[in-house]
Amino acid sequence: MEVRDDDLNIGNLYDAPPRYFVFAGLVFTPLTLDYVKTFGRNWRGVANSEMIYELYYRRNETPAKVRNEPVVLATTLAHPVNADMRLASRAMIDTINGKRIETLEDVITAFEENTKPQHMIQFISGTVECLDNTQAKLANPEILSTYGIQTDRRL
Amino acid sequence: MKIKTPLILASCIFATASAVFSQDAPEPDWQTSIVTFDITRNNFNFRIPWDKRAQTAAKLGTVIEGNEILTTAQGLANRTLVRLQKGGRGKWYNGNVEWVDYQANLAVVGVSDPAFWEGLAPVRFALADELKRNLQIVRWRGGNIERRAAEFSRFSVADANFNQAPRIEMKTSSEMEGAGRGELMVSGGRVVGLVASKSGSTCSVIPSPFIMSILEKRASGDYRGLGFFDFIWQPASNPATTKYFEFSGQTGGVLLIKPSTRPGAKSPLKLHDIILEIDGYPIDIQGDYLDPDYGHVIMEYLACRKKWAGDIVKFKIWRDGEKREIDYVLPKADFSKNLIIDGPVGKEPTYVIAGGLVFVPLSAEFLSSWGADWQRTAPFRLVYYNKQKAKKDQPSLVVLSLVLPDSYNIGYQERKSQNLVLDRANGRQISKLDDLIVALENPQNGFHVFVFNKGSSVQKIILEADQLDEANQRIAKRYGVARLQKLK
Repeated sequence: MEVRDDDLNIGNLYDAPPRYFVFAGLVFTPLTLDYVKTFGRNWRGVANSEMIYELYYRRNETPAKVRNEPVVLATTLAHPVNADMRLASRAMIDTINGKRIETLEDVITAFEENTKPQHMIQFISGTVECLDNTQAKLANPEILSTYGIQTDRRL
Repeated sequence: MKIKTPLILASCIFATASAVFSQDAPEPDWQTSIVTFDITRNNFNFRIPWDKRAQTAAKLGTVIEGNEILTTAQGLANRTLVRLQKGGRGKWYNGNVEWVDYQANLAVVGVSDPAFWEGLAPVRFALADELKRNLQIVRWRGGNIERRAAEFSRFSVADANFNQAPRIEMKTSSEMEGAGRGELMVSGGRVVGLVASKSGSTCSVIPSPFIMSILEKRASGDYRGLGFFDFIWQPASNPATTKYFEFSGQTGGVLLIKPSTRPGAKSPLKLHDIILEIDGYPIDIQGDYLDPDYGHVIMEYLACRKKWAGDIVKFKIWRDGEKREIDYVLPKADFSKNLIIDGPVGKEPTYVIAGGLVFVPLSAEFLSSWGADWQRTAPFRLVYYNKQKAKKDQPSLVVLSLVLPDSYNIGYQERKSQNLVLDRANGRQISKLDDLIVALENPQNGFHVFVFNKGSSVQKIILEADQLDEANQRIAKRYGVARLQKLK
């Protein structure tokens, strides 16, 4: 039996290493059941309500607003470039530089295509945080090196 | 004699507040100023809304000018009998709650029997600069006055666990057991506040300046209730964020991320405004301001600092690259129009039972029946409505709370048929119980058709219309339900 692509993220993923993208120390990953299970056995109590709603309720209640692959800011690798950001880890991303984030690839495109002096990340909660564009680009290799990350993405 | 004239009462409060008092002066006899309450109230179970049980609660109050007793509002909702005792023992007198504000957590109680007031003396309240030293908690216990030392910790604004006006609280630590029932916090001979709750060794105290400001306003006859800021903000501590919004050359301020949380409300504030000052108080990047009485506290309290619902608050904001001044009208801390109805406090639960299907409004009281930690323990989907906006054609919601099993509804009695939000009944959109009553008068082709919100574990319940009355009578008898509906 084949699982529909739409349903992949709400079930267990086997033999599939997690997808991620690291930019300026911000680690983005798709919202999946596998991801929320990393919170522990009581993951339903730990995950924020937006995540649970997006994962299990949105598709039935407002299918027109469903994202193909909701993206989460999983963690922040501390560095001066992101030190002033007040980021809640495990926060869901709404837009980056005005682009609605439907998949992890959208995150990459939104950062790469931005020519403004700042990157603007808007979370589903409405919170907004910005990064200096130039400093973020410069910091990326150093952060990857500091934290021993071989590649900034696994897609 | 009971003083009722607002002007006289106002002048008494002013006189009390401004009276010169030395902390070295002889301490008043608290025995003549503290009274004990015995309250009987109906305790409703909003999940089984026809069920009510009598509950008794004991608390304390204090005598204030004008032959009145001041206490906290906690435990006064759905009261059936309020009795008071002076001197820690002896006769009980019937009391009457003359004024209560659950948002302010304060109430004023009167006693009509003149004998009650004999030998009682009103307290004096401490001023803002007298709140931190030589603190004691005083109460009646076992017929004797009990005193315990307390230590000042900080001032904070009460957590908005759900819909709540931003009250100022004084945090103190004390080892007094079971405190939090309106005990007096005193310093020298003055009342510093009322102990509203205690968690661990930390007491939350309603401070006297806040109490005095409310009593003064009430006495003037112009008390309109507490207001609140209906917007959501985030700290503007990230320089990249302030640069992005072209906010240059200034320090401080917070970024607005939701102009209004009230359904359908128009706000003079706009998304991504930066709030710099409120009523002349500069707001720092954490969202705090320096209060002359309480030190650094969160800016939410400026909605209650000598301001009342309907008052204008002056905002200095940064918008579109320039500074502007706007007038913000304080909305009343009334949350009864929210998608999850919250309040008014003390209202009996409403419900409709049709063929064993128990329908109730989706309210904060209903969700609170899952316990103090209801935001985690109540059904996720119901709690999540708190984060959603009301639809124009469905400003509030009705929930199928449970099914009383009967041959008429067999098959729908399982757990998955509980806590479902009703979308339509017999083709009619349902947002309140009155809509359901009208819908039940118009079955569709001989059937009552209940359609639940998309994604519910049960999508539809269909029952034969001509058997409904018979089933209702049978169910009412079997489950001991006196009334099959209660709409007000």
